[in-house]
Amino acid sequence: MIATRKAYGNALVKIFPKYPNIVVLDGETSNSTYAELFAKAYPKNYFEMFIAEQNMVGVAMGLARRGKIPFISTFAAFFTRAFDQVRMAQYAKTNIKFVGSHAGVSIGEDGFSQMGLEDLGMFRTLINSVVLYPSDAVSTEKLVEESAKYYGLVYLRTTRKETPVIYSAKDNFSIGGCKIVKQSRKDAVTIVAAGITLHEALEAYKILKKSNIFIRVIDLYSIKPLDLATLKKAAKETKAIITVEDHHSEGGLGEAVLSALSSTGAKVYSLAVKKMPKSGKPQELLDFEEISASAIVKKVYENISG
Amino acid sequence: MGIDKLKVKAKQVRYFILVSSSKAGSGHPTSSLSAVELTVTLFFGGFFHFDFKNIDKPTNDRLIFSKGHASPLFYALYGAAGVLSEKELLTLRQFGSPLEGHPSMEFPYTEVPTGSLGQGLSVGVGMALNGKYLDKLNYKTYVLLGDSEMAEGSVWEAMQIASFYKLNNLIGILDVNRLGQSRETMLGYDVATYQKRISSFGWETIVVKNGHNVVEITKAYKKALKVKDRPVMIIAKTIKGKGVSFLENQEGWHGKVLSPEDLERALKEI
Repeated sequence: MIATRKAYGNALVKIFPKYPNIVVLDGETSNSTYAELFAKAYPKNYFEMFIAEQNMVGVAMGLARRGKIPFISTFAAFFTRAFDQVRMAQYAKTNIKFVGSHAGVSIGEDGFSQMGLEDLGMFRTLINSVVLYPSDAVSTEKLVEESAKYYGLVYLRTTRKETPVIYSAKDNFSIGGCKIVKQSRKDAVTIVAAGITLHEALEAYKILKKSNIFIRVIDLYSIKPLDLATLKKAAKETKAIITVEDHHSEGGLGEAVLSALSSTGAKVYSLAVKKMPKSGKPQELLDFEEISASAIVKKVYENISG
Repeated sequence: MGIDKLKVKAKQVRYFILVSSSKAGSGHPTSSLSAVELTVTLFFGGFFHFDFKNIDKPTNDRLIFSKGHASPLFYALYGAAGVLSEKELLTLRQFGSPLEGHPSMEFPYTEVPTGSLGQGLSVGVGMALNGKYLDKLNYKTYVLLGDSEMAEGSVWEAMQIASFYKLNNLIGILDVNRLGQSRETMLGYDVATYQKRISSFGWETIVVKNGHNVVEITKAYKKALKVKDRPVMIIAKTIKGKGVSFLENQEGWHGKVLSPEDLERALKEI
């Protein structure tokens, strides 16, 4: 078990020798985002930006225009206050990597003020942006390197909670790719998830399998651009697509999938954060918002009995 | 360049501002006119080190127009530097022209697109951090700020960080022309309060009492370049619409251009 936010910090330290133009900024949350791992290893390429997110994005723009690759981090929620600067960065045609941690209601007890629930929508709206949402340490590390390689604006969403490592070092992850984590010839419906909810989908898979019901599970770690071919195939081969995300239903993974499949006539159901979140245990909140394994199981039954 | 030559350049820049914005039919000539001497002295007074034939040269100084609406001035400077012809300047704001309403990357000399106020100083901090701590190059980063945008919180975020990192290679130029879009700014011509606030954020401040006097401005830049341990803000009192009597210090002219008849009158005055 390792949190993807920690995998982010580890990845930066690993890849820096290969990408010496990387510069890391953080809004005084580096012990939460794990940018501190980089700060300790390469202090000369780390600049503390304190709790001033708008300025941090502007500084990143300046560094990027001088040929650096800024990786900048804070809680996903707090990038929203710098959206004007983020918006201008797209017109600078520049190279910035935004890393938002503590995404979604799964942060739990800290409550809504700390929950990033609009971030996917915000970053998806930018011209030519890339939006990544890995679910485990292996995919996070690989996608951090893919981000460094790619010239442009990338948003990478990380999770507070520790999650199981489900991939091996041999697995490849690319911008625009996805992983079919579970599939069989008997798949009734397809679950499309990313990040924390992928693990809920895998739990739902286990529960349903006991009743001899099989579901396809797709890890849509690249939300923009997305792997349309794999989604179309799943839409054709299964009865319905159920998207599950720890984000508001507007602008997130669900709408990305829905609009991508709009011409296919596929049935797409969205499980997302739709109720006002509150404090509680992460699992309680995932259940409350109906984005947990039990909500997925319920939605699957609705679709196969209908 | 001597004082007289700077004055000639200033006249040429005013001419470009007025004709290009009038031709465009929209834009911000009055906000441009207030900062003519401040930027002409920077460009042609021996301060701005920039190889106009080699934009990518790492040692080039950097200039960011945080007050991006002063784009007629921005382009006029490159006209005066021989980079843009008058014909090109007259394409301002036309579809397909690199000279967009606010500076964009279509114009190769633009460091970053601006126009959303309060953002330029942060970008300047990034460039100055790079020069001082990463590339370790001697280039300076200049940021032209409007007085209205000093109401943006992000300007003060940038101020704190710049002094924290002791960015003596970052020089702000604050164009205190008193007037915003719809009314007077909160501080108007209260330059002393700007100075107090900015110096309390750890910046060296240099007040230019007459922001149209190239001798005074020259002294300010010389002084700014000698500061060793902190960022510098040149706070200059200017006149919005300077050079055209019926525009000077007048409300109601923000973002408005001259009619062909008024342009004729104005060109006679400059």
